[in-house]
Amino acid sequence: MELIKSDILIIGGGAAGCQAAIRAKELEPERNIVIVDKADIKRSGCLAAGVNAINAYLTEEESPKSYVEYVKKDSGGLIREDLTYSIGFRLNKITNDLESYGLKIMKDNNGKYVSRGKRSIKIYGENIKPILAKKVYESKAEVYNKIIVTDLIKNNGKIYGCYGFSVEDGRFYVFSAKSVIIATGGASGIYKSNNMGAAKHKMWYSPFNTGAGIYMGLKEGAEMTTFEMRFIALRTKDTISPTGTIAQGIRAKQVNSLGEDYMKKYEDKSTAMRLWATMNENLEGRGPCYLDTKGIDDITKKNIEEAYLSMSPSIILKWRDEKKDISKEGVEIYGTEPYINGGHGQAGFWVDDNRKTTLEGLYAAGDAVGGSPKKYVTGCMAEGEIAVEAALEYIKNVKENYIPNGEELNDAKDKVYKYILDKNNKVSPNSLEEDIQKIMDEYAGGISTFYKVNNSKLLEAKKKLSLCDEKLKILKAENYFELMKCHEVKERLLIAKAVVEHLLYRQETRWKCYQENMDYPLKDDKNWLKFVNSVYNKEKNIIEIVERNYDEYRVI
Amino acid sequence: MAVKINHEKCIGCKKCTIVCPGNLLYIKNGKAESYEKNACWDCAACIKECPVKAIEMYLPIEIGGNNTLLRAESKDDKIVWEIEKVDKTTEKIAVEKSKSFEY
Repeated sequence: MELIKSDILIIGGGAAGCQAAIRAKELEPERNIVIVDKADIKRSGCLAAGVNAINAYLTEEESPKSYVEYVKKDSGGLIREDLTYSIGFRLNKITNDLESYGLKIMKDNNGKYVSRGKRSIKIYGENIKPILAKKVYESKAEVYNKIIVTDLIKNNGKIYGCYGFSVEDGRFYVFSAKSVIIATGGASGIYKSNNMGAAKHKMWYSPFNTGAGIYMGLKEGAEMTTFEMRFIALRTKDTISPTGTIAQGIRAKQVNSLGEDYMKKYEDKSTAMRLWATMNENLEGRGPCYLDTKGIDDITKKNIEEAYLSMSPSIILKWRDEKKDISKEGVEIYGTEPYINGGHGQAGFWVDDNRKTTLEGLYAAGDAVGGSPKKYVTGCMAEGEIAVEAALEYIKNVKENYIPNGEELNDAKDKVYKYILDKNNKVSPNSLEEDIQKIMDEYAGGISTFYKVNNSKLLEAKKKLSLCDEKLKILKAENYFELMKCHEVKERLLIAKAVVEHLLYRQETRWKCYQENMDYPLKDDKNWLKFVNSVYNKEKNIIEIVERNYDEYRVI
Repeated sequence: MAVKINHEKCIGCKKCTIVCPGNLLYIKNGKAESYEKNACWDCAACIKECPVKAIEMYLPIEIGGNNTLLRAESKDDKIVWEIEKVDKTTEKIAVEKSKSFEY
């Protein structure tokens, strides 16, 4: 057993987690700060391949207030204004930090960042993770890579760390801390994806972000928010590559098979509507839909290819394999499957404006946090800072670490290894994963239903998911990689159940496409301008819904 | 598998096994292997780390792939991407890390 003690434990070494560590060491270098990551922070998480732009930066005409106004308008009018506002104040400072760490940002003749949109700037983002990782190591925060975390350590109602195991050699780890920050990102793989077989992990978000931190928080009774708002990305078909590069970069229009600029026919040009419109055009027989790149010159084509190599190289393979010349034909676009994500979307932990969760000692930051959509990389990093500043304050009053022992420790250890220890277990993690993904796809608004839900189907989803509990108990692992996969399925199952409860509860359609209930197809501000939150009741094994008031968190 | 590891070139240095965000790679008999070929996300992290260009990426046939291969060599100031088409001709695209993107 490895016992790792720290003042603050940061679970997850992505954008939020890395910035939290860097900031903590900057403010209080004497504090012992530990990051634990399921892979290696050099390329772990959703930024593995790189990123195509900074999409949360306030250009000259923008302010924290205008940022809140934009995010609110683009997000169904229901956001945690206070959280988004707090992010707005830090976005530009965070961007400057990234540049100082080594991120290359395009500048004009006056030394100003070149914008790609009102809140978006142009960067070389392929190496954003190595750059962040290098800064973390320089800060002298300790990093434990390749550790799968499984459960939080709770004592007297407070969170004091977590348990885990090394995916490389299977060693048991106990992380004991005065305070914990969950920065494990969002959850993918809840729904069946567009592709199959060798392409099954060709998806928008990282297939390796399976909601570990969200699961651990839910399990201990932390309140979650807005799981009914599932983020769905509009991406290039099949390779699921970004569209912003082409849409914003060369202002390419969305056209259908008739060559119509179809967005003109729809009520607005919000992010969700661009997706809804594309799916609708396909549904009504005017697909495929494309980003119109016809007629671009060679230099533009070269720049686009270079940009894609730095964030999604498989599209280049597709264009070569299909002998596709994008100056002669458009790039086909389509929707992905739904994700639980608090960076683009707004599903995740319910927190106060210090990013404190409803569990004492537990903070959260980044894609794992709900209520503040459209925060992207810099917004997640801003939350990492806010959370760690609050945690540093909190630990001033925490006298000592709590170290579990005896029966508590043995129970925890059993939970970690049970899938590999019990030789009678028979179910493969992949097969149960596909079972869950199929249920969610067909009954809880996946791609095959054009994301639409209705109560009868949701009740079926609930029933079928409850049958998965028995199969989860007998998942089998023959090595530590498979043990990791068993834990990932465990995480996804609980999150899927929470998604279904949230979708059942909201009796309106607020976020067309992301949350469209055919039993209540209209937005109902009179009755539903409020947050739908949830808490997992461990004793009864049910997810209980809690409503929260909107007005309390207004800033504009 | 959307990446192929050429065991004739592989020197078992472990750089790819360390960097894979999915923990998919491991060393067996001195060579890099994958636990689950279908689980690759095509992030190309392993390709960029490999010092001997032993790893190639290809598009799975399941999504229209037809055997074009992609290799990369990451240097300090740039990444040189090498595309090998079915007819065995190669195309090199060097992308400078100092240059921010036009798009």
